[in-house]
Amino acid sequence: MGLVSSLSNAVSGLRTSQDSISILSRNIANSGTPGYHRQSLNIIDYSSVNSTYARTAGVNRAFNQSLQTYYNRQVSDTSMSNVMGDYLNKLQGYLGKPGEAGSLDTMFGSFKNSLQALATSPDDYPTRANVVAEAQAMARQLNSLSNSVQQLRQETETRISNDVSEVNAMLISLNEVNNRMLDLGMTDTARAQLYDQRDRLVASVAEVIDVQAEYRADGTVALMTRSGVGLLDNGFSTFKFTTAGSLSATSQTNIDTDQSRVGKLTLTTPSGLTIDLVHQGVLQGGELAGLVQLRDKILVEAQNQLDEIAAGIASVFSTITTPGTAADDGLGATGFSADISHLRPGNDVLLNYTVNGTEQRVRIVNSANGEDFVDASGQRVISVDFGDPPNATAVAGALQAKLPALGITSPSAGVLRVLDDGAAGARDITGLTTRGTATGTQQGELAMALFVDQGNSPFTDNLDTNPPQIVGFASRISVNPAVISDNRLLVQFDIDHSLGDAARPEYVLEQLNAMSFVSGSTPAANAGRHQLNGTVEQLIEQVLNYQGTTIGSALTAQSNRQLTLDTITTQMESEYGVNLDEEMARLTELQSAYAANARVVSVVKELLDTLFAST
Amino acid sequence: MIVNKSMYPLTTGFSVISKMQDKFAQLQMQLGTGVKAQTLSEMGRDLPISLSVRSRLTTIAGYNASIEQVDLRMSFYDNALSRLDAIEGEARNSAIQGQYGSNNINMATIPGLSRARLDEMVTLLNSDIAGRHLFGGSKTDAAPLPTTTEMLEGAGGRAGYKTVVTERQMADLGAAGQGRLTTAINPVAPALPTDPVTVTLAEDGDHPFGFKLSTVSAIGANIGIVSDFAASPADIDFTFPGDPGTVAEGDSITLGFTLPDGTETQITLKAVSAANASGATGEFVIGDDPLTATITTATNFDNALKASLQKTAESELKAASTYAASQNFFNAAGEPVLRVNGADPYSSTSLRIATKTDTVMWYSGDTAAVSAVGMGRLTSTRAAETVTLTENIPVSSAHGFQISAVSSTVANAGALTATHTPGDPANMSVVFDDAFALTAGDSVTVTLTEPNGTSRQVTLTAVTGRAGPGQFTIGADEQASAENFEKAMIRSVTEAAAAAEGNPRQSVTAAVEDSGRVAYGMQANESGYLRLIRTMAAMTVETYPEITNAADPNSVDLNPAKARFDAMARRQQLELSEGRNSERGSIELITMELGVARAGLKAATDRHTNYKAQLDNLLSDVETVSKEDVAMEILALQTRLTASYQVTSMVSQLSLVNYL
Repeated sequence: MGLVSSLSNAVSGLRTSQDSISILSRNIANSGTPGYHRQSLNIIDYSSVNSTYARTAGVNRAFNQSLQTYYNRQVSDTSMSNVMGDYLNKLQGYLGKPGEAGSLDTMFGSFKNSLQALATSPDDYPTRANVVAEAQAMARQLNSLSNSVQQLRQETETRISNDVSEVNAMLISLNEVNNRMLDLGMTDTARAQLYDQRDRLVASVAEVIDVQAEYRADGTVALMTRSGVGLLDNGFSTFKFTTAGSLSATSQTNIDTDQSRVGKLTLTTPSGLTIDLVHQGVLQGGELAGLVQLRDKILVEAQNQLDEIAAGIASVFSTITTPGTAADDGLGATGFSADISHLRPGNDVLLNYTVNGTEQRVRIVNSANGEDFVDASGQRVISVDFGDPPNATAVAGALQAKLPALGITSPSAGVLRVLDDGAAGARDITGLTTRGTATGTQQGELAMALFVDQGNSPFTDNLDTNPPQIVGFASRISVNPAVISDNRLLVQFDIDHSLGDAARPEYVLEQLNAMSFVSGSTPAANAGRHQLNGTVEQLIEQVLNYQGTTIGSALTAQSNRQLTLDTITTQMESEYGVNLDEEMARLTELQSAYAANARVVSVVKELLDTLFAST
Repeated sequence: MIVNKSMYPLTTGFSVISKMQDKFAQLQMQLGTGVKAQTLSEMGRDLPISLSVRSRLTTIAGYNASIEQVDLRMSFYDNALSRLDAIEGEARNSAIQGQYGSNNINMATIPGLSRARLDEMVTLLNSDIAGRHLFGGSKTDAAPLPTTTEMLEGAGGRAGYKTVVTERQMADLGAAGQGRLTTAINPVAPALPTDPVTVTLAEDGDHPFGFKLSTVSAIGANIGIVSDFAASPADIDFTFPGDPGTVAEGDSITLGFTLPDGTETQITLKAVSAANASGATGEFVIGDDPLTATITTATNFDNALKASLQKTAESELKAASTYAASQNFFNAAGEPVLRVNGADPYSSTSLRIATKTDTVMWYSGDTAAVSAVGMGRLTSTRAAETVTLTENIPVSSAHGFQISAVSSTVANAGALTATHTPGDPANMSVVFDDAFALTAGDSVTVTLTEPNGTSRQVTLTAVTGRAGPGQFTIGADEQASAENFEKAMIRSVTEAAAAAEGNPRQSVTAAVEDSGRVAYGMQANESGYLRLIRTMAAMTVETYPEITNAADPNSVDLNPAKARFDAMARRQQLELSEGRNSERGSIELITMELGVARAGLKAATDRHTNYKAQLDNLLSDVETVSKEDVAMEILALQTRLTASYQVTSMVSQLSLVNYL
C-alpha cells in the first residue's frame, strides 16, 4: 500500500502498455505479411507483498490446431488438383474441339470421305492423291498428339525434380526451426516469429506432398505423410529423384524396378531406410502425387487410347479377312476349316458358335503369352502360340484342350478344322474367320499395308515383343512410302490391274464399318482403365468423350478445391489475421491507458515531491 | 502458387471479383464466336451428341460428293445415248429398198455416210470424263474401242474388218461364185432317149459357209425331186423324165436357201419353150428334139440354175456374207471373234477363233464371259431317246461354258446313262432306256465351268407330276422323257448362263447412302450399241463400184448392184428396227435403266438434304448460344461487377485509420 506501490503499479501499467503497443505495432506492420499470426499480449495481475500490478505473461499467438490441420490437408489436395488441371488443360488444347480442323474426329471424317470419293472415281489421279494426303495428315496428327503426350510426361518429370529439390530445402529449414524451438531461452516474440516460419514451411511442404503435422507442446512439429511415412522428426528425410532421361511411350512404370523405365522417386529416412514412393503407393496428395498420377496413369492411358486408334486404322487397311470353308467329317459333325499358315504373331482367328441358340464368340490370338480371358465385349480371348511357321497340329491340340466340347483338328498341313458335336448336339459352328495381315500392296489381296510401323515393317499387333507392338504405335505410324510415290497402289491390288476397278476401296470401306476393336489385353492389366469397344469411328468418339469428360471433371475439381481452400483461407484470416480497425481501436485505448498511467506516475511523483518537500 | 508467399495476399472478396471478370471475358468470347464451349472439356454433356452429329454430317457430305460425281457421269451418258438414238434413226432412213436416188446417188454415197456415222459412234463410245472412259464397264483407264481406221483397215500386221469381210465373202461365194453349191448332171450322155437324167444340186461340204439348202417346191409334177436336207452336206436331185415324158411349159421349181447371217432367200427356175424364151436368168428352155430332149432340158436347167445362183450370190449372198462377217468380227459378250480358217478361204470348211496377235479386237473393255443368249455357247440336240449337250465350235476357253463333268444317280441302273465326252468340242449325252424304269428322284448333274474358273452345277431331277425349275417329268416312254429332259435342260442351262453373265449395269456402282448403291456401268458391247456398230461397219465396207462409171444409170447391168443395195438396206432396217427396243441391252432400255438410276440418285440427294437440315439444327441447338441470352447474362454480370467494385472501394475507405 502506499505511494510506492501505486508507483510500481503505474510503472507496471506503463510497461505493459509499452509492451502492448510494441506488439500492436508489430501486428500492424505485419498485417500484410503472408503466414503471420496475430500476436497478443497476455497480461495478468500479479499479487506481491505490497501491490497488485499488471505483468506480461507472454505473447499469445493466434493458432487453431484443427484449422491448421484442415488447411494443410486442403493445401495438399488443392495443389494436386491444380497440377493435374493444368496439365490436362494443355492436353485438351492439343486434342481440340470436335469440328475443329485438327480434331481427330474431323480428320477421320475427311479421311473416310476421301476413301468414299476414291470408290466412286478410282481412276482419277487427284482423288487418289487426296487419299494419300489425308492418310498422311492422319498419321502425322497421331504422331504429334503422341509427341505432345510424351512431352507432357517429360515435363512432369522435370517438375518432380524441381519439387524434390524444393521440398528437401524446406525440410532442412524446418529441421533447423525445430532445433531452434528447443532453445527455451528465446524471447516470446522471437518464438512467435519462429512459429510463423514453422507454419509457413509446413504449408509449403504440404503443397508438394501430403503431410500430417503433429504440433508438439514444445513448438516443434513432426511431419508424416498421410500414409504414415515419417518426413521429419528428430531428423529429416531426404527425397531423391533420378530422372529417366527422355520419356517415350514405351517408358512405363513397372513393379519390377529392373523393368521400370521412368524416373525413380525415393525417400531416405534419417535411419537410412529407402522407400520407393511410387511403387509403395505412399503419395496421396500434393503436387508429387498429381505429377506421378499424370506420368504413370492419366497420360499413359491417353497414349494407350491413341495407340488403339492408330492400331485400328492400320488394321482396317491391312487385315485380310478370310472366311472359312464349310467342312464336315462325314459322320454328321459339320463346321468350318480355315488355312492358318499365313498368320503372324498378333493375327487372330475368330470362331463363332452357338450353344443351344446363344452365341459364343472366341478370338484365338497368335501369341505366346498364354492368356485366356473374356474381354469388354463379351468375347473370349485365347492366346495360342502358332509357331513360326504356324504348326496347325499344335494349335489344334492346344485349342482342343481349351474348348473340349468342339472337335478341333488339323486335317492337313496349315489347316485348322473346327467341327461341332454332331447333328444332335447342342453346339453349332456358325463361323470361322482368319484375319491375317497384308505385308505389301500388290499381292493379289484386297487388303494393303497402307499404314506401317517404323522401318516400313507391317503392323500385326504383335503381343510377344517387349513391349507389345501396339505400345507407342501412334508415335511411329506412318504411310507406306511405296504408296506415297505411286498412288495407283491404292487401287491396283495386282500388277497392271485396271484402274477403274473399285474393289480395293470398297473392301477398305467395308472393313471400316465392320471391323470392331476392343482395347487392352487382360482385365488385370486394364484395372481402372476405360475400355474402348467398337469400330474405328466409335473408338475415336469414345476417346474424345472420355478425355472431354475426364478433363472437364479435373478442371471442375480444380476450381472446387480452390474454392474450398479460399473458404479456409478466409476463415484463417479472420482467426489469425490482423484487423486494422481492431488494432486501431486498441491503440487508442492503449494510448489513453498509457497517458493515464503516466498521469498517475506524475501525480505520485508530485505527491512524493510534496512529501519530501515538506519534510 | 497455392500457399501465398507474397505481401498482402488477395482476400476472398477480391478473388471473387477476378472470377467474375473471367466469366465476363468468357461471355464475350461466346458472343463473339457464337459457340458455347471454346475447349473440349467445356462441352460437358453435349459432347457425345456433338460428336455423333458431326460424324453423321461428314458422312452425308461424303455421299453428296459421290452423288455429284455420278450425276455428272450420268448426264454425259444421257447426251451420248440421245445422240446414238438419233444416229440410229438417221441410218434407218438413209438407205431404203428401191430408193436409189437420181443417177443412183444413194448407192454412191451410202458408204461415205455410214463411215461418218461409224466415226461418230466410235468417238462417242470412246469418250471420257477427266480420263475416265465410260463405256468400258469397270475398265475405265483405257479407251474400249480402237480408232475407226484401225478397226476397218487393221494395224501392225493384224487384220481389220475389211480383211475379215473379204475372207468371209470368198468363203461364202466359193471359187465358182455359186455360194459353195455344186451341180452335176448324171448321166452326162444318156444311152437312150428314154433314160431319165438327174441334175444334182449339193452343198460342197459340211461347213457354215455359202447357201444352205432348206426348201424345194415345184409347180408341175414332171420333174422328180428327191431332197435330203438332214444330211450335211445336203443335196437335191432333180430327175428329168426320159422320152416320152417331158417338162411342160410353165413348170417351175422354187428353191429356198438359208444365208450365212440367218436370213433366207429363194430362186425360181421356170421352164419355157424355145419360142417363148425371153433370155431371163431363171428360165430354162425345154428341149424340143425328142432324141436329146431330156439331156437338153437337163443341161439348160443346169445352166439356168448356175446362172441364178451366181446372180443371187452377187446380191443377197454377198450382203448376207458382209453381215455375217460383222457378226464374226464385232463379237457379242460371251462370244469369241471368229475368222475363216485355212490358207485358202474359197475352200475353207470352218471358222477359227481369232487371236489378239492376228486380228484387231474391236472391244477391249470389261465384258461378261458367258452369255445367256446361246446358252453360254452350248447347243442341245435330241435324237429319239438321246439328248446331247455340245459346246459350240470353234471352242474358245475364254468364252462360254465348258462342260467339265456329268454325273447321275438312278434308282434303277440303266434307266438313264449320262456320259461326258471330253475333247474339242466336249459334249455330254444322256440316253434314256425303257428297259429300266425311271423313278422320281433320279437326277443328272452337269458341271459347267466358266472361263474364270468358277464351276456351276446344273441338276435336273426326275419327277412324276408337274415339273418345276430344275425338274423334268417322267414321260410315257423313253422318247417323251428325253423330250421333257431336253426342255428342262435348256431352261436350267440358260438360267445358269444368265447367272454367270451378270448385268453390265452392275460393273460400276457407287455408294450414295449407307445401304444404297447406284449401278451405272455401261459396256460398249451391249446389244443396242453392237447392232448399230455392226450395221454401220457393214454399210461402210460394202461398196457398189459398178455404178460409178456406168454410162446409163438405168442399165440392166447395174441390177446385181441394185439388188445388193436392196439386200443391204433391208438388213439394215431389220437390225436397227424399233421392234428390237425391248431386247435386253437396247439403247432405249439402257436409257430407261439410266433414268431409273438417276431418279434414285435424286431421291437420295433429297433425303440427304432433309436429314442434313435436321442435323444442322440439332447441332446448333447443342453448340451455339443464343445471342440474346448471352447479352442478358453480360448485362447481369456487369451490374454485379459494378456493384462489387463500388462496395469494395467503399469498404477500403472505411478504416479507423482515416478517422484518427
